[in-house]
Amino acid sequence: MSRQDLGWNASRVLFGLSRIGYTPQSAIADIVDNSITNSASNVHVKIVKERIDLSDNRKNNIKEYLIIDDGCGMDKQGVLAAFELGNNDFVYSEDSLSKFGLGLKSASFSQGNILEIISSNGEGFIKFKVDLKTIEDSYFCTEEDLTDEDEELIDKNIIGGKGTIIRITDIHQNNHPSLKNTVSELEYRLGIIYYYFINDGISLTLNDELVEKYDVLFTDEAEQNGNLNEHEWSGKEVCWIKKLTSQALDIHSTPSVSASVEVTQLPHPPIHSLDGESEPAKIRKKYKIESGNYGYYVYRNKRLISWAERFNGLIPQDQDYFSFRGRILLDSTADDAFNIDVKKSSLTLSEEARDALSDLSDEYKRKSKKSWQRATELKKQMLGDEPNQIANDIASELDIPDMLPGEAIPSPEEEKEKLAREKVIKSKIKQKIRNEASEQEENNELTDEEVASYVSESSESRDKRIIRAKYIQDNHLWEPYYDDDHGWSVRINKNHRFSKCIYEDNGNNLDLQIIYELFLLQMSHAEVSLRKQPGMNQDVVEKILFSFRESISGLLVTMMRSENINLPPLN
Amino acid sequence: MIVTYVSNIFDNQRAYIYIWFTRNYKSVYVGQTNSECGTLGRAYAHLKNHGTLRERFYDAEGMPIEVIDDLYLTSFKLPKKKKYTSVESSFRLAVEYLVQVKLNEVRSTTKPNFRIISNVTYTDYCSDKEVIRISDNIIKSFLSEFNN
Repeated sequence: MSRQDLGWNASRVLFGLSRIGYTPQSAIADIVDNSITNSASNVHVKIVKERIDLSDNRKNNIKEYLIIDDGCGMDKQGVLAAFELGNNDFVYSEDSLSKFGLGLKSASFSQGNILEIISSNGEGFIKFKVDLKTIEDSYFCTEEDLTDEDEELIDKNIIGGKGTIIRITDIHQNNHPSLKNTVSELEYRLGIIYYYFINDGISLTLNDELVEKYDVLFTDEAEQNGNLNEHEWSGKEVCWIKKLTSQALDIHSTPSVSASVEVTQLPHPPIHSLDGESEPAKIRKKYKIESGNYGYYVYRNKRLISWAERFNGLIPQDQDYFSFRGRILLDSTADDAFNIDVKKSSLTLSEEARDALSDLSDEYKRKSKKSWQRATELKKQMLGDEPNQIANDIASELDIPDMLPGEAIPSPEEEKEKLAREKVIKSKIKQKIRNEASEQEENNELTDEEVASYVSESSESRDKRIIRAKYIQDNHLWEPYYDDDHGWSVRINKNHRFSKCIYEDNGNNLDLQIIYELFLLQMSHAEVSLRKQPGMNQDVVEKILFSFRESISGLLVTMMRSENINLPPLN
Repeated sequence: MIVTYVSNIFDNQRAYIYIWFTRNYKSVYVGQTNSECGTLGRAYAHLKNHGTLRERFYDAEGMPIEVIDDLYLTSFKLPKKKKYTSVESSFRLAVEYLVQVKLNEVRSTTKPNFRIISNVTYTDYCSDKEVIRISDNIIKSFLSEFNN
């Protein structure tokens, strides 16, 4: 075997490195990483316009980018190593933000042709420069004298004689973003990218303005509001879907890979329209609720490496997930499970890690989506265009006849008996609901108020004749109900599989839902009417009708579970 | 002679959550049944050709289930209430779902860590207080056995 050394063209390689997709924001962030890795307490980002007199909106008007820090600085050997491509002399610590030894060069040359490093480790500032336009076959830098401008920058920004200035000049003029565009993006992106570092005390400025930390999960608010209950969420608070916990992502690697995961549910902007037309926009702005911002924010060694990551469909592209905000905290041990690219802006999960994250996310996604949908329903209810509200409006107009069509007029004795029977039925219904409440609340000594509160809280629709209940004993589809305010009503088990087919699978079909609820209301009236009939054994009729309801409820479940039939919606 | 001790884990009035596990292959499978023959009756369906446990293990490990030399079955009684024992499985599925979700969250703290190879279905009864309490107790019992 003979070895053949192969050459490389420095100019072309550097050109290629500068075209791997950096934006000014990601390039600047990559260079700020070096400042943080080198123990800086203060980092200043300055973007200088070419022509001061032109508007900040003007494209192709950037003179230079400056990243100035008061970190440990470098001597000549350090500066030369920083210029090298993929330098081997750097030994990255476990918590380093650097990874490949390419970031400074590729980020800088993606924005401009000249990269200058001015640095001091306490023994005086030195300056070196690489000018891409002078690079051909071989790669080199030149040592430069400090200019007056350099001295002024050092005096103004670096206290203590140690630190580094990175200057990128001769900016590419091919559709280069405006100052305003880059600054407005950076303002809150830097606050997110370096959230943990700013929180730990690092000061970061952008054109002399302090960058505030920005917690994309709004955990302080979630802490105040507690865990998300997808059945009761008002749509207005930030709640925890999952508090920060360590999760295994790859148990088969050695050592096993784990990550800390936390997830919150942000508010539902549309429901705020009830507080005023402009409120949804305010909420969207405050929480940055947009199509590009939901998903997981992945931090490696406390630095954001992936923004609103959805891992190729693991978090689906669907408006119902707009309020889903997750954060995954990794350290360097997860690098192989989360293959991170050079510009630290995207990652590719290993199969094992993806499966694990997918399993975990199933529950978080479900809660988030369910909550969003609940808030949408709540809004409809409040606006009065929700099907249950419409069904109830219709029901309130209905006169329920005392006698069924064709029924003979009862004698006074029969009328008396009917009233007596009705009293018994009401009492039994009261007792039944008390039993159900006791079972669900696990308390056998509930007061009347507590039972009333159970009926109210276990229903979506309060103060109505058609009540969508969360649970009905023995999983019946419906049952007659009575209260003094509304008279004879119906409780519909919204969690019965057939109801779910109507309410969820056919959720867009409002007419079907209204008809379904009115039909069950009449079934309920018919049952009570029969049970009141004089001349029949009341207990026997009650048992038959109970069995009838049980039978229908069971048959419908069986039908719903059948794999051989295709139920509506059919397309 | 192989003596298998079959404890009194089933009668025809009960429903169960069960968890299969193997420490050597770091795999766990969660299921539920209201089978009259209890979890042992259900076990046959899992282990026969094309049985769910057999298939899931093969999918996860690429090996037939016979390679496992430490396959355990743990069973947990559900309350003797109609909502758990009836043909309609929503309440059993809810307990099963919560058990799996909670196992997923603790699997990095167990020795050994494990993967979960079963699939579960969410139902709205997952927020039922009793269902949550039952699933918490199952997790507690299971972990004390698994970590033993």
